[in-house]
Amino acid sequence: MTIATRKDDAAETTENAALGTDTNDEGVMTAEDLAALCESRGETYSFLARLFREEVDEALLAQLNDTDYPVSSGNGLMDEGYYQIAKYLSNAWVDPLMKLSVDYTRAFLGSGIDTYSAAYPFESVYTSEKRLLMSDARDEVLAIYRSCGLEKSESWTVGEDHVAVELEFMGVLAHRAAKALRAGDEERAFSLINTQRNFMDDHLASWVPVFLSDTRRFADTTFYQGVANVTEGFLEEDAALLADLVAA
Amino acid sequence: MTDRTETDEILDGYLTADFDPLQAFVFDDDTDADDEAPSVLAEGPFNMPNPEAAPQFQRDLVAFDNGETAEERIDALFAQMPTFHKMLFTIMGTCASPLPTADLEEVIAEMKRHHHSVYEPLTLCNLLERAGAIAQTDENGTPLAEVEQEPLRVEVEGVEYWRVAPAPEVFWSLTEAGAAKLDSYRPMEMIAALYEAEPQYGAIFTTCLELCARDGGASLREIGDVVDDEPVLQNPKRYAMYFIDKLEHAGAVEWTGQWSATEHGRAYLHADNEN
Repeated sequence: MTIATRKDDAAETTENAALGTDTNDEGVMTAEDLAALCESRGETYSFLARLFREEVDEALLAQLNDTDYPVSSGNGLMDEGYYQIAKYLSNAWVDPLMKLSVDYTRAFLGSGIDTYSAAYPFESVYTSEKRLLMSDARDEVLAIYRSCGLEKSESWTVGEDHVAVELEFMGVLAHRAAKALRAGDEERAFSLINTQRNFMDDHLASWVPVFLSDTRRFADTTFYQGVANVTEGFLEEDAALLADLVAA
Repeated sequence: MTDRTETDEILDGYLTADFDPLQAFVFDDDTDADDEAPSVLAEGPFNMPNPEAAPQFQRDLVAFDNGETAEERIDALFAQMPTFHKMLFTIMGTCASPLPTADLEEVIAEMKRHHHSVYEPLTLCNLLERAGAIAQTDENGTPLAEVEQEPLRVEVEGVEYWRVAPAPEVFWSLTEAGAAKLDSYRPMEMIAALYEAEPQYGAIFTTCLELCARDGGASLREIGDVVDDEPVLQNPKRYAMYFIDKLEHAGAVEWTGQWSATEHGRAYLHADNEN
């Protein structure tokens, strides 16, 4: 597996993309190019969502070990994060699953009785005064998921404002946008991209950077430090991309 | 006014200003200071906790890897895992020459067959490694802790990527501090010390050991049937488990589904028979 470098694609998109443009021999992004970009974004969102959803398991570790990480993605945080992940995995020789599980627990679950013992991956914690779970943010995102025809799966037993669910939601919408573009339904694609932009501004961008800053503080391994850097860098890039797409 | 009875007069004797109902509970202030265990409560009217007098075992409960030297950390680890001594010593002994991870896991998994614990084999190795008793090395015993691999920088279709560097084969080797600790483990001397500490039970220890040395070992009931009625065990009353427990801690017997004599237990019996 190779992680796509997004620098060139994104730059091209922000300069030239306009939904519904037809193929242009001069290199202007086509609907198909944009669909491919959305698909790639969706993959990245799903990948990041998986990293935050639960501990690394054997299958994911094998996938991570087989992945090539871009040296120069166009975003400093992402570059640093990819290097940290590759370096950690290059030196994790004995029982990496256990060590990563321990660090996941330390970083995201914590063991204290206060609300400052870990980077709690819930929007409610970061947007409510008393850092409580299941607050207004959870109700808001749940309403948005439902308005998009999505319902949480029965196996998900914690709040719907978990960072993994929010990232996965963005991934689902990115895939839907790609599908709509390929089907020629540009209006729907634009609507989906607009929804992503609003969700990015109203939710992800409002709390995830602070949460990732806490992740760097609580995580011991450079793996999760790297995951935090890649996530923050990717969200920065994607927020800019969505803003440009909507403005175009 | 009613007539006073004899009982009233007796009660009057008690109900005086000098009567102290707690008199019987007054502690003797003249006790020898050496006989008193230090109290965590400081002297004084408020009985504030005295950190200096905190029992030693509470200090031992802190993480073993806070120890400054490997010797301290190893001793603290063993102190905190009293039921794992044999397993830890066996791991250390197995690592006397560099051993691949998979082989070491097999050795520990075999030991864990009759030692139910929540520790995974590699968790035990990790604990010993943190203590400084064993270390990850290459096949020649060179520590891998000093090796830090950079990811590989590769080019795919003109784009540069980081690729995870292949892991070297990891071996586990005994460190100097680990070897010193292993040298201090002398089951034969510990078994002999049992006999010296309670010479009146020497024959009982030997009987228990002989029963455990039979093929297939012996159950506690079988051992109890043989020794529990011995006159020497009647006052104070002792049962077979008392001796098996001591023999186990000395490394003479182990649980393998039955109580079985270890190689050290058998060697002691053999030496005892020759004498």
